[in-house]
Amino acid sequence: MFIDQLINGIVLGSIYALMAIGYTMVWNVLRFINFAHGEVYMGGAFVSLYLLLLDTPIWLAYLGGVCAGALLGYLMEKMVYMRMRNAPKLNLLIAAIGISIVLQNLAQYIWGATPERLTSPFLSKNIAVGDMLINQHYIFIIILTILVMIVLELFINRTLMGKAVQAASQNIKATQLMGINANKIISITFAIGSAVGALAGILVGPVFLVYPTMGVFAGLKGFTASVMGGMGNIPGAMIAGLLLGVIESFAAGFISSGYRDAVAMVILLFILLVRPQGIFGKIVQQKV
Amino acid sequence: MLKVENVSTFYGQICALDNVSMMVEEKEAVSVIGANGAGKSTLLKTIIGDLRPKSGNIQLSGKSIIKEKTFKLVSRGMTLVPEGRHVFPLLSVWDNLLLGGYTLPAKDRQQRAEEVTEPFPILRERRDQQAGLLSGGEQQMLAIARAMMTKPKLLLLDEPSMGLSPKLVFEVYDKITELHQQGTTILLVDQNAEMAIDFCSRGYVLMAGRLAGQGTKNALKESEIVQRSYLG
Repeated sequence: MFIDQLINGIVLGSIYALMAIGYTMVWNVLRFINFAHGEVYMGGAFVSLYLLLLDTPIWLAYLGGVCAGALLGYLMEKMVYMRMRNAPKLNLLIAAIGISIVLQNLAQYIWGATPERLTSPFLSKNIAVGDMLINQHYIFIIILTILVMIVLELFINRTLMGKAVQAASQNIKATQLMGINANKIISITFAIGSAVGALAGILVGPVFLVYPTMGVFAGLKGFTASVMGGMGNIPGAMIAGLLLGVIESFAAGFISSGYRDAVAMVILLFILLVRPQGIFGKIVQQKV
Repeated sequence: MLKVENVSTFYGQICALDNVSMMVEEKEAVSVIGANGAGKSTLLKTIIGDLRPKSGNIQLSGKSIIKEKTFKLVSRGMTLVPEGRHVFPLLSVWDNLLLGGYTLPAKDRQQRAEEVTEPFPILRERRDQQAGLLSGGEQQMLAIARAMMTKPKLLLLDEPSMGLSPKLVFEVYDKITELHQQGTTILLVDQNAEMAIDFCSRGYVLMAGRLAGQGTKNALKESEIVQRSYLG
């Protein structure tokens, strides 16, 4: 029972972690919460589903969904947020909520409201670990999440463009004085965060199905994880996402599945009261 | 090299620069002095493309740059060390320098970082330290070295002495003088009129957004307006 719940929690947490990365990356460069991020998750899953209906090979359909998610995030930024660069943050927030509602309705118009199951090559197979059977798709989710985290870590900390993303998060005006096109950095950040969000949607598609409002709750949980991890802290978002998933899973298994969200939110409130900067957030000291 | 012609810049309805004209020749060291709020930083921000002037023209090497974006001006050989240094506090000293060379070919960046830190040995010693933890003077040196990464033809410096102890002010000005002697054209604005005038070969005086005087170093030193308002 304990191990079962732990594995379920890690799987769920992997999805939250992937979602949280998108929120935290966008926060880093623009200091606002992209509440339309859940729709990137939904959009990626729907595009994969559509490509599969066209008999596209499964890996290509998954890749297509990830690319579509990246494109959706990129277009959101270019068409709306970039034009509101100097607007009050509240306007951006309302715009994000507006985009979210429009995209949900658009998905419903194009694909309908009936939940559909995304195909996975692993869903019908299990791996035996001792007495336990673990679904191969769950292992696939965990491995892919770890890979994404490693690639992101390498990109952010080992490449100059990754460092430019970090620089933009610390001082976007100074970034331009380095000869760096800050708008390009913001677009890249949006595209990467959205690609990761879309991947999360594609990975849950075979388990929790694909439907137009699937991103609402996943988005909320990803946002919660990013706050728990310390807004703007990418490793923090990853770990907090995993933690949130495990906590929820234990709450569902040992208390009641009806209270899983409430338990997660109580823990979030506790963290915000005790450590407002999040578990891994730092209060930056700077000499002047 | 740089020609500013009848430039007026506004913050909303407030006129911060009123019909200002000035020029900087190649290899020159030019200072702009003025009190707090005189429009010195606004002038540099307008030149570097951070603010758009309402009227007038700015030319760099004979070409208008009035609509050019800041990051493109860096590729065209002009950069700014902003007021308050603006180093990237959570990145290491060395990463700050490498980002300064973002537009350089990858193979040249490390070599260039070694070159620009030659006059600043402290930056080499602290290469792995977070830039935000350097002292104010060290941050100023990092900001200058970082700006030099692209070998700018024209270096703009905004208040290089701000917030520094008198000893550090001399040290920073020594380094700036060294850069100028090595052939970099410099346009500097500073509230510290004495240091700014001593450094320059020619200068301008800004008062309430307007040019109130100009001349060579000696002319400025002897000017009544400078004597009365800044050198006391």
